[in-house]
Amino acid sequence: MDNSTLDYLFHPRSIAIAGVSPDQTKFNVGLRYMQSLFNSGFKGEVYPVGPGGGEISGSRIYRSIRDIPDSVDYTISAIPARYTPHLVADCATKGVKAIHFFTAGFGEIEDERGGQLESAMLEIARQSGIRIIGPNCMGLYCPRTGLSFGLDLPRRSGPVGLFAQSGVNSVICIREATARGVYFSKVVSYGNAGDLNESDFLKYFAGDLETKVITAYIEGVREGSRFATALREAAKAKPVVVLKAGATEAGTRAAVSHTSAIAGSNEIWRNLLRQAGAIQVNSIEEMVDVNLTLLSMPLPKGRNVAIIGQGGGPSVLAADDCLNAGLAVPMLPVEVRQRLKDIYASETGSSFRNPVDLNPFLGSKTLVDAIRTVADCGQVDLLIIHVPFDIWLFINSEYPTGVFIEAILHLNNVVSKPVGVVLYSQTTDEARQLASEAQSRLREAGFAVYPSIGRAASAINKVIEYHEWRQKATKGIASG
Amino acid sequence: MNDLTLDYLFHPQSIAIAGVSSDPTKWNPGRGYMYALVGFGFRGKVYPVNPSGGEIDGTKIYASIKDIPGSVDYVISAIPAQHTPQLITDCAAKGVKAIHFFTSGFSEIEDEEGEHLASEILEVVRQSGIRVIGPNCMGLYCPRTGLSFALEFPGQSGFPKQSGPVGLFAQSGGNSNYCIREASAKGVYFSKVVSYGNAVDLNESDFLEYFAGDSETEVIAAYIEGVKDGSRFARALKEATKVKPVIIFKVGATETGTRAAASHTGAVAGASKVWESLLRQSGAIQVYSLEEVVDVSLAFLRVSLPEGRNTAVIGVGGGASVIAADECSNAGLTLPTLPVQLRRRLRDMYTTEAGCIFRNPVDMAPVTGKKMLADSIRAIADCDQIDLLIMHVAFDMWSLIDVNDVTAAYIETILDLKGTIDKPVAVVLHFCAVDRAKELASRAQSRLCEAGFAVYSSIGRAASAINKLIEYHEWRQGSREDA
Repeated sequence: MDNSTLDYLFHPRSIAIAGVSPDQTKFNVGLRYMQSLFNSGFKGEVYPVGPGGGEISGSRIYRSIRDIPDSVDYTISAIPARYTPHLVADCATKGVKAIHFFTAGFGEIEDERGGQLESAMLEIARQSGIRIIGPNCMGLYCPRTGLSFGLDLPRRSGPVGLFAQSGVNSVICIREATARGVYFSKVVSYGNAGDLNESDFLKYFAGDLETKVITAYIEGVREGSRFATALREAAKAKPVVVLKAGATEAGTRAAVSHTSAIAGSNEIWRNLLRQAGAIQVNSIEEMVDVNLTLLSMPLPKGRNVAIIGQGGGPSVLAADDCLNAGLAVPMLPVEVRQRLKDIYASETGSSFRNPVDLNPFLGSKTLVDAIRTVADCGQVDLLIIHVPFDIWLFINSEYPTGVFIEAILHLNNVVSKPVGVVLYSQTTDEARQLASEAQSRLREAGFAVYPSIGRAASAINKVIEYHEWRQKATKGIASG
Repeated sequence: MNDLTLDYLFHPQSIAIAGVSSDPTKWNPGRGYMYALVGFGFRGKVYPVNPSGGEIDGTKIYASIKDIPGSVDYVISAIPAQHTPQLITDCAAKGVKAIHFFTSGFSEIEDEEGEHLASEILEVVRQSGIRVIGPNCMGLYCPRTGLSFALEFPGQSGFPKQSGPVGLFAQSGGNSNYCIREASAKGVYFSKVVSYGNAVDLNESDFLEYFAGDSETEVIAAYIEGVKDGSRFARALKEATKVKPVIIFKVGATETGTRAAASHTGAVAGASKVWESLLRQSGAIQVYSLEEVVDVSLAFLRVSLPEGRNTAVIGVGGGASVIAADECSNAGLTLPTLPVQLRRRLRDMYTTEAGCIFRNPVDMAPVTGKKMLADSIRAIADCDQIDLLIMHVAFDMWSLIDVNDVTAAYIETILDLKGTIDKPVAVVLHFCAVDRAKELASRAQSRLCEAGFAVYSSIGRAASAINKLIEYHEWRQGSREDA
């Protein structure tokens, strides 16, 4: 059942939602899906379906899919598992192309009847050629065509294509990414992967023109060797970021209970991902960090980073974090240090060796001069500029951090090397507020902004590694 | 110069601040210190000093320490490095007991002049018996006696006036500031904090010995870039860990970090391997970030010691549970599968297993109401095979239901459970990147902290802190048995 062109999934003209109740006083998942489609601007027809019939917000609720007068491309199922075989049969009659099962209670539960029900439901789908997303998942989010599984997910599109086995985690990924200014072409939450699985979505995204970076949250795969092949092909075309969860024994057990996935050992996964050239990440936060780096930072020529910021203690931590992540922090040459000393008139309260600890009280123009001096140094490949918020004591942190933010915003035209910005040490409400405003401005100006130096350094190193792998892989093709 | 009782440092009756400018339009750290002390409620005398004299807010600025009419116990120096030898001579004449040098520009800079000044200071100090904190640091914070190095003004909170049982000594000023703020956000407070910079006189060993004997301090925490006297420190550490937990964040562990540490506080950093084995052998708790300093302190203060590592992880979200399980295992905790009878009981309560996981991690459907949540959590806590509970609430996972509606039910349930569960509990509030989630999580954190819960911002961090709490007690037990 190989199908590399699943594009129709994201372009339905009409959607039926099974499991909509006319009773608005009760929480009703079907109704929430209806509202989500409405809120995200879906332009096609939406047909609510519920066995009791009735009306909801002026729309008729059909008792059966078969009663819908027009054709139905796509169905969302939010009904209990035991009714699903019947629903699939109705969909077959109606000529539905794909069904997404929000419905849970299949192979992932301890009761073996769940597994039997899943097989029965899938068998009917297979016979009629209907493709299934799920069960036990959130389905599709595609801002461009107005598909959504949330009442308030962003309507803005971006270049990241995400497939995630967990529904909750796909929502978390979208929100964490949005908060950092990263947006999606399409997101698929695919749960138990009874029919369409990780390999299908990986191949789809590899060929999708709207997707520049592929990202995956995987608990376990259905077809190991097909996935490995698909991964190798995809990574050559675009970066593939993979978070493999359920890697420990306890995690594996949770993954089985969650999506009945076969998790596979840690070691196997690490090797598979490395050999295929995928970028392995270990948390949702890191997934977003790497996406952000791929999208917002030009590729540095090497790993020599100049760390620029404020605070002696923070600079010591910064150096450790960069080195531990695999970057190099070269000592700045004597001439550069001398030029910095000239700019600042003294080294007291500053440090110019690298990390470079700069005093903000001479204003942002001086700061821009100093940063440019460092950036112009031939031994430096990239800059990490860090701005801590909660280190200020005698002065409102708005002033010194503001000087840094202004300086960074002026760098776009004067510094030709890649720049990562770290806004951190924000634990008080005031600091969080300031940092959040600063992040919006910096993101708008196109900077990659991170919440810690370690995370910035690690993401940047992983992106460099990916490009090194890709260079080798394409050379291999050229010579062989 | 071993001195076990540095207690007088934290109880000065009068403080002179050298380097207070009478011009309120210019930024001036001396004035900052003055306002910090007055605003924080320091009850003793505060004397501003500046060679040009003048007045500040109606208070006379003395041209020299020697002109001050009363006695002076403690001096804060915020003057340029080149004037410090004269200041010390004046302090000696005045009978000052200790000087804190905020002043920088000594051995941490790339200039022989700085190095030379540092040894000159030390020489004068040795002769007069005055003890020195710093130079190049923030000095003392002691809420009980009103010492502080943070200024409160509109748009910026000062340090908490509330005292607590953590004693912190930190080589970096900026980092001690962040540590204090991060801790107070989690309900962790300090007996005393010392930011000690270049440590030309009083150093890490002095403060470690002091905190070990200080009855107001139950947990010792340290941020160290490098030590002055390695063997004395090792000895002091071995003694201290026998009486209370000592949490150490050793930075400058990489080669470049070492260079940065040298530029920062002139510290000799030492290889990371040496440090690791020193800390392990002495039973100190090694941590790797400022956040972890707070996480582990929190575990010691608010998580009672579990009998073992068998953890039940309870929360919402299948994917979140998978990640939770991985993180607990990686941190060294174990997640036993819940016994079949208990799983059956939970299934009966929820009438279905669809959308839930009862094996452990336990993933509970959110729409069942507070009573059922409380009952099921209690049922899990009663299970003999469980030593501790980690309850997690994720904020950014909701999309079809209002985040406040669901998370509020969990937070209320956890608050109601207070006192009804006799096993150690930690609460994790995580995934709150979106503004609204941030706000809700911050409010929930305040309420849970106030109720006495240990609140963490990720499952991995909670699990690792608790595992370190257990490890420390295992070590202490072992070392007692050896003795």
